[in-house]
Amino acid sequence: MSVDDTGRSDRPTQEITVTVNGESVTAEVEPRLKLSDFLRSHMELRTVRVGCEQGVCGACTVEFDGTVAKSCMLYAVQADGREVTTVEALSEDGDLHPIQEAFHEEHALQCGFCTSGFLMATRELLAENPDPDRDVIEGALADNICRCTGYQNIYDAVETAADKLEGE
Amino acid sequence: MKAAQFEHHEPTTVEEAVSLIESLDEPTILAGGQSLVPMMRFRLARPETVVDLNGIDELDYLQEADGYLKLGALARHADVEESSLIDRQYGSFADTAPLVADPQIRNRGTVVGSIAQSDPKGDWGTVLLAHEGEVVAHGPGGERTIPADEFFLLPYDNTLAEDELITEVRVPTSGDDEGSAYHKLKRKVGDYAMAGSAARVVLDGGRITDATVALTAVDITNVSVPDAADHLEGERPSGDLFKQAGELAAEHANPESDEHGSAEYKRNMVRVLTQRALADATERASNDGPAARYGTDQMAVGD
Amino acid sequence: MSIETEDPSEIDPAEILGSAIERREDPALITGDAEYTDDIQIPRMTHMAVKRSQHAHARIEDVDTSEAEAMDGVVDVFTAEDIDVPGSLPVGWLLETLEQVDHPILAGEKVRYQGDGVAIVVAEDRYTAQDALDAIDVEYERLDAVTDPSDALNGGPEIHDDAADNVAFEWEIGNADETEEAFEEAAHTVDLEVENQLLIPNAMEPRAAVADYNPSDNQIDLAMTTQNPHVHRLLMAGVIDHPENKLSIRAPDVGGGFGSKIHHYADEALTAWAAKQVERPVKWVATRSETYQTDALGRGHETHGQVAMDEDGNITGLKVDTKANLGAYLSTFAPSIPTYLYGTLLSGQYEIPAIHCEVTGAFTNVPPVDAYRGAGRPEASYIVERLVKHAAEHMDMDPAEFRRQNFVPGDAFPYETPVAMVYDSGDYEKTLDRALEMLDYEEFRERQEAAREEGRYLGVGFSAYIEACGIAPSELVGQLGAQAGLWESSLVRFQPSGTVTAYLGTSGHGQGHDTTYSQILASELGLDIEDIDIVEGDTDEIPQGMGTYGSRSAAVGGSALVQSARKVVEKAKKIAAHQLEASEDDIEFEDGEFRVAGAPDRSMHIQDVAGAAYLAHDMPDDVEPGLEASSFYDPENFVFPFGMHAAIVEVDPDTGEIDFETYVAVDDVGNQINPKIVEGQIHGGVAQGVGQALYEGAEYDENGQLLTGSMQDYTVPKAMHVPEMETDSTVTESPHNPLGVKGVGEAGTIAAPQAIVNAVVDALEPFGVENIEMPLKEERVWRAIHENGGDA
Repeated sequence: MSVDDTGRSDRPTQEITVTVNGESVTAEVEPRLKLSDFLRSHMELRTVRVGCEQGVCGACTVEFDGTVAKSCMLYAVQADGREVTTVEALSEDGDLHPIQEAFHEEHALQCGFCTSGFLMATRELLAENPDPDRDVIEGALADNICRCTGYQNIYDAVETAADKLEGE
Repeated sequence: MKAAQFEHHEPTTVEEAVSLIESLDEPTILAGGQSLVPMMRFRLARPETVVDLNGIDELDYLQEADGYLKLGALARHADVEESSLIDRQYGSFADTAPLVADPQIRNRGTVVGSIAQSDPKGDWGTVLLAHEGEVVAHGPGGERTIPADEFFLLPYDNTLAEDELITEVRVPTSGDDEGSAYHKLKRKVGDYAMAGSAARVVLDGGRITDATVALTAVDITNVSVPDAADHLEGERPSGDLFKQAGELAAEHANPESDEHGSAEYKRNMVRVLTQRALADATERASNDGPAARYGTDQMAVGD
Repeated sequence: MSIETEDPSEIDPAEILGSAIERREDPALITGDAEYTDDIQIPRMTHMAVKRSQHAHARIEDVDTSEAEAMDGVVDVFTAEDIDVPGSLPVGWLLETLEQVDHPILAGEKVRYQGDGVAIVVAEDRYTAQDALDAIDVEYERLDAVTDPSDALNGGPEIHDDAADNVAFEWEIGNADETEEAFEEAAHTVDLEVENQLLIPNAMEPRAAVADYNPSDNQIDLAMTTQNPHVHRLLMAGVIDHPENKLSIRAPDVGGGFGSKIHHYADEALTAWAAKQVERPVKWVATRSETYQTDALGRGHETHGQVAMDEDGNITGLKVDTKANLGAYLSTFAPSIPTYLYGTLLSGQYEIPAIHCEVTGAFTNVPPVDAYRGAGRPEASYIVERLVKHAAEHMDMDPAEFRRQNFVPGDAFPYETPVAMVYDSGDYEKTLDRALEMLDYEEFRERQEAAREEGRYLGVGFSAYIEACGIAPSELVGQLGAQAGLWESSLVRFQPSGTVTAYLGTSGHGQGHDTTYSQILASELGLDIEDIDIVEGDTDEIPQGMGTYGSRSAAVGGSALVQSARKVVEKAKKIAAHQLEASEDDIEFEDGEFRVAGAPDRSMHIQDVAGAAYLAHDMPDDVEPGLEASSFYDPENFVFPFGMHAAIVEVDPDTGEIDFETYVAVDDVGNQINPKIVEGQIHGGVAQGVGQALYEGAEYDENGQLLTGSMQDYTVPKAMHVPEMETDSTVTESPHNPLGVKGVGEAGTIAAPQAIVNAVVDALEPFGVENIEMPLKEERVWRAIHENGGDA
């Protein structure tokens, strides 16, 4: 347990068991603890980034229960008995995931703060549609705000990632 | 910002949920949570207890049955978007789903939750009105249905009793000669509508035998426009007819000026959007050509 | 047309400068290895939250913190009364007429904008801190508020006792008499009133700070979201009255800035001060709501511009009168933005014999206004390019040809403008011609004509922009009022095994400095990029620095790096000559190798020289052991990137909606160290310019309440709002720095707004539309169409 949680006071808590990146975790949490805060503070998963905390910017996007969702729009208690996947699960043994490689090759990030959300959104998009055109990509990225790149290189990265995944 | 403290309950059956709601003091219902959670974050909503419906698997459906298209309380916007049932016969549903917020919000947010929220800027209430649908509520006294046009009262207020839970919304199944559409004007994708219009048309022998028009964000609730419907019924579809219906809808609308647009502008947009929605709905009902032939310049706003 | 990247390990050091290599910083940023400020966890850490005024202008009657203090989990609560240090935020740029006003880190008597801090809570966790804020009771006496600069100047409520009529300063540049004369003799004049609206920068990472205080040695370690840690340290040392050498400031990974993380705000100082009070680590992270209420705004101009022309459409004079909104207090560099970074760029790309500009800075009840990407230069380029479009229309001339006719000719450089700048180099026709080619301009005009006949409205808009970057020559800015030198410093240090670390005083936050600086150093020293490490953003490690803003890092920081690298080579050469038993004059240095001229087999690699330098067993006389060098590079002039951006749009006359057909950007930023990074900066800059043109704007009601206070209400462009861009570039080297670079960070943001507004005005020309204010909301466009009857 880290220091940035709400479990230290005598306020009422609930026990939850969540599968995070394949591992089952049990924790005592206040019902009002956001899933984003739980993942960042309890699980120390830094790729879950909090940009607006009202479901607009998409920096905290994770896979929740099989689809991408903004973790600031969920309470940790809602994850009880469910599965959560974050960008930490993408790279294996230090090797980048093809989507991460594509973002790297195409300069699809600058400051990097929003990038996790784009990686997770791209992952879901390509799982559903391995060969999306620009309009489809545009629609699928409608959840995520990037203030640095102007999105052009992100489109290229999604297309490059699609090629890489197809070749696998 | 963080929410104030609350208690969290997660029932697994409708029955359990109804008895919880009855026993708790002013509980708040959480389904998709995509409107509620931000309100709690800003502490605009400070519920002491939250009843979370996400564990009630029996409410997770979207199906045609008993002459209705039925959406359970856990049917998400994305379910509508991806459903093969929706297709052309429920054009207004197909138009609306991808216009609600953003993909991830649609993965979580529910149609029923949006209707329960009764925000006049919400899209689904308008679609429900255009299809002359119903709200199915469960309370301590059992089940009852509320027609859409008797459901909405005020912004964020409806005729649901405090101890009732909406378990379903439904609209009559659509026939081959029916078409519907929804057009929305918004500042950007993900925003609530600045103005929106849903239209539904039934054709027989080249004439409109039944029609409805309903509007978003231009009155204290989602509203339907009976004058426009009356004007359309019995007539042959034409660009001029839709223009007149659009003008009637604009007259019926009662928008307020805000930072997104003036009342005058919104009223004019009701006219344009209604015209376009009618053209699309008719095209879908007759299936005989592009909507543009009925006098609109572009297929869809926000395409 | 996007540029293909290359794997740096496959490139020879001789080729690396100018290569589009992959970014070195990415692997950490796309995995969980990056560390942004909020990622920092320290044992016993507490969390600070700021109680902010909900009123824009009010007298504070009472602040009751008793309930909050009694709450479980609350460590302490502080108000203005508790602040035992100077606690007033300084201004780093003075003007002759400037009214300096007190800017307390916590308001005690009066709040002057919605979001002004009144108290802070330090608690065990963020949720408790938030609960405690709710429990603080502040009584206010509300005062009338004003948010518009003209209203503030014309009898608005008095915001500061010391600033009569809310005038912060009055400033002018150029020659009033000559300009007046030009207008008297003009064959034609046109004028426009335009607003350049207030913008909220919206870096994706909210501002944040983590302070750790060690009482036994009085040391404060502060990690914070900063673009300039050394500047923050210098200023904060005064604000919290702490010795500069006992205050360490570090920028961890920083998630964008766009200017908003240059300035010295109250919150970061309060975090450091609070850590000292509670003797525990303190973390503060802005919520997005706080970002909207407290990050320094950008732009905020109301401008009247006039152009005088002769009968052939040659511009003979330009008159500009601007009311600049400075907000409630003077932010760190605020006075320089609507003055020296604005008035000096009003000549644009044009040869204009006479220019005069007057600016009045106004205090209002909005958050302080300061630098936001472009900072003064977008406002200048906007008024110039809108006026040029208007003038061309008035003269019934093609807007591209009108520009060509008035450009500073290619053989006129260095060109001195009437507003105190000497443009270094340029070739404006080249970027215009390339843009016209990319647009297929003649074909477009035919299509436009045909479309109008079908009731469809297409338009093209141009933006011939120029900016002054490479900020800035210290002596010059000192004369203009800067309270700092704007040099940059670097240290290049070889380790004995031959690896190198370079320390720079700039502080990147997304620009890819690690990559570009490595490319520069690899090229200078002839090393593989793997042997180079770049360190930025830490006052403990880097001797001195001025930071990253004003597109200065490559031109000024990069030059400082070159300067140090060359000093290192110079010293290494002495050692190599000694080791190779040759005269220094006979030693040549190429690709990392010191060779004796005419004896190619006698050579020594610089990495081996480094080993010898630290071994120091056999050094030449008068040469110290070790191999490192530092330098302060002070630029001799600004550098002047330029280019031509153009947009083609279609407007729906029924709804006022705007669709992009094409966006082309032809930029000349001098030599390019990494073309892919350059292209990325253009893309991102244009996206922010698109935001300003179409979507963004901080709006306040008559009480000064922010109406666009969240990402739901303030549209930061998403993917579907940004047009696909076609980019290209020309290269005109800057003669003023060793790299020949000009800077690219702000170009897109400066260029884009007027290209888009000009395109929409062009599309609506049949309706008699001459101007529409940004952002081009659907209703504004619709009204512009319909106010003259709506007939084309």
